Amino acid sequence: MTDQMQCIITALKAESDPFIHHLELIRDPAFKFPCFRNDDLGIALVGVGVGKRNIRTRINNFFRSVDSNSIQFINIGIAGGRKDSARLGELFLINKIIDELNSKSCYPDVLTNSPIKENSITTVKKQIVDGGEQYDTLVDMEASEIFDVCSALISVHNIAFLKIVSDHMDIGDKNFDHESICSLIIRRMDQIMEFIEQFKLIGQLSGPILSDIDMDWIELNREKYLLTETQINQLLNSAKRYRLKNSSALFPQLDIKGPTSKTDRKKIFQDIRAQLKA
Amino acid sequence: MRNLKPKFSHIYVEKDAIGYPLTDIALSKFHRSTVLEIDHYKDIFNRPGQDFQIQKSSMKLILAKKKEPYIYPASEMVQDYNTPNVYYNTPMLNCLYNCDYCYLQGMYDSGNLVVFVNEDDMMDAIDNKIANPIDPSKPTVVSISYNTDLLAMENIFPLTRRWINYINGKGNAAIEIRTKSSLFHAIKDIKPSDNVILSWTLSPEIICARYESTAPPLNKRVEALKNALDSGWQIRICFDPIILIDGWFETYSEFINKLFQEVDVSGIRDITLGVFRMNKDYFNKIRKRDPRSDIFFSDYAIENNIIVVDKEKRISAIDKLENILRKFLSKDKILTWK
Repeated sequence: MTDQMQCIITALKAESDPFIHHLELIRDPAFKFPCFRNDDLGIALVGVGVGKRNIRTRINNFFRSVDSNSIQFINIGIAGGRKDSARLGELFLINKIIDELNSKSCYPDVLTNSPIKENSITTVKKQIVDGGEQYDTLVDMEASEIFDVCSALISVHNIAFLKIVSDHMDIGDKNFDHESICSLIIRRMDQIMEFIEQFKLIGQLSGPILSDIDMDWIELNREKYLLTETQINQLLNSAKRYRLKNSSALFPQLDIKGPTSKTDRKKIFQDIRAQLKA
Repeated sequence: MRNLKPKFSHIYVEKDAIGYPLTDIALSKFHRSTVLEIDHYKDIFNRPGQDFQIQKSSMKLILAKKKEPYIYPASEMVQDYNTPNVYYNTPMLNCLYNCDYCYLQGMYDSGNLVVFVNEDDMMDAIDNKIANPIDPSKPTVVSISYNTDLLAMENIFPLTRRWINYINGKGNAAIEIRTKSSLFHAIKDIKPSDNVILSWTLSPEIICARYESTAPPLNKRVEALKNALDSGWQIRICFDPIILIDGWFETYSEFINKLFQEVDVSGIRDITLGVFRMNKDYFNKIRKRDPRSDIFFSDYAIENNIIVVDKEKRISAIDKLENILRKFLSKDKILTWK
């Protein structure tokens, strides 16, 4: 099991390619949709396509495949912005997402002390090409659905959204060529990577008290001493207490023979807990 | 942690809270914060999938308008105050501090702080209870700092001051302001009121260091308490929760004896005494999240849906401590939870 996995979610191939190249991600053939990873770096990328349609299935499929204690999702992509409030190429961290369809708002936790400017975003169904005067926020086609799906899987503090202003909502599909989108991302790559590194630390703030090795010790004793579920739960509490008081000490090596009766098991169990309390 | 945004980097303002004086105070105090308008405070505060402890490391401020109920009957987990007319209200949800044993981390999904800006509605509700007491022969007591530490925020929100001004002169009624704060000086200029009980929660230094590390140290709390006492305020001391660590009796007896060498006990209104206890659902919710405190991995009994130190052990502990306290105060001034 890997300690931590970060997953970049992108909509367009042109948004994915700069990360695939920069992070040396390799296509994972286990998926029918674009999924790339670099397990050494603990980072992956999932392409969800434009709009909401494929987001739920792809993220859920990916999530089920990940063998990790902790996963973070970072949606990175382009967005439209109003001429008077957003410069082309400007990078924003999103602090509020409004779904235009149902008018619901959601709020990613903004905990990372990043210098990236913040903005809100509205997720719309169709591309806006009329200048978007009615929008006070940035505009995209995926963020609300990504938040909805990811927040059902992981804690909200492990979900982030970065958007680069690609247009002022006044151009159509024809102007979104692969190269110009790639170059928008590449120009912001250093800032994005710095954010991803910082964001990783947020994910490390929480985690289980007991390590995999500690859990192996619990499992070993469960099998050897035929402990009941109730006893296991009590043992877990004692083990956590011990671990909080002794951060690096190994659990005691028990040199006790297996039980011959229920009474014997109870006594052994009490002995084990006594050793953890000592 | 350097990697985290500072406290109150973001202020979420409920639409209905706009225009209230407290909203304006908050926005002017934190003029560099990012302000986001929200429909309802629960859209932020009650979101699923929040991590209380991580949010505590970078708390956000939520300004909201409280809806009814504005006042609640006292919990059965508080000491008997010799009156049935006991209530609490919630001018704020959550606390600036983050004590290990605090039930708020089980009560709320969010570590962020909510301030309700419509104090007048809460005050009207108290007026109503004062006018219609359960037992008219007894006083009405309202704890206004039950789910928060109001005084700890006084430098930001002058709420304690406003509540004192509100209750002052209201006959047979009192508000209790429970705190671990050292900020008494922020209300020092106010004339002491018979309608106000200032309650300081005090613990031995080892307990403060181990389980109350985000609250002011013991000496600062004692200093604030002494200043309040000297100024003529009604003071309650809360030895609550008593944490039964190894050697607890020596720890607490030494602490109490030392404290009353320093504090003039004759001015103390009363003392509350109680061991660690918590609603079972809150306790289990906290424990599930693997909190970094051994308190949640010790052995307890369950009584009436409350996680509590085993009855025999806690009665013995409270009795022993009560005996020590009896050297300083009469029995009627010691309010216990057994």
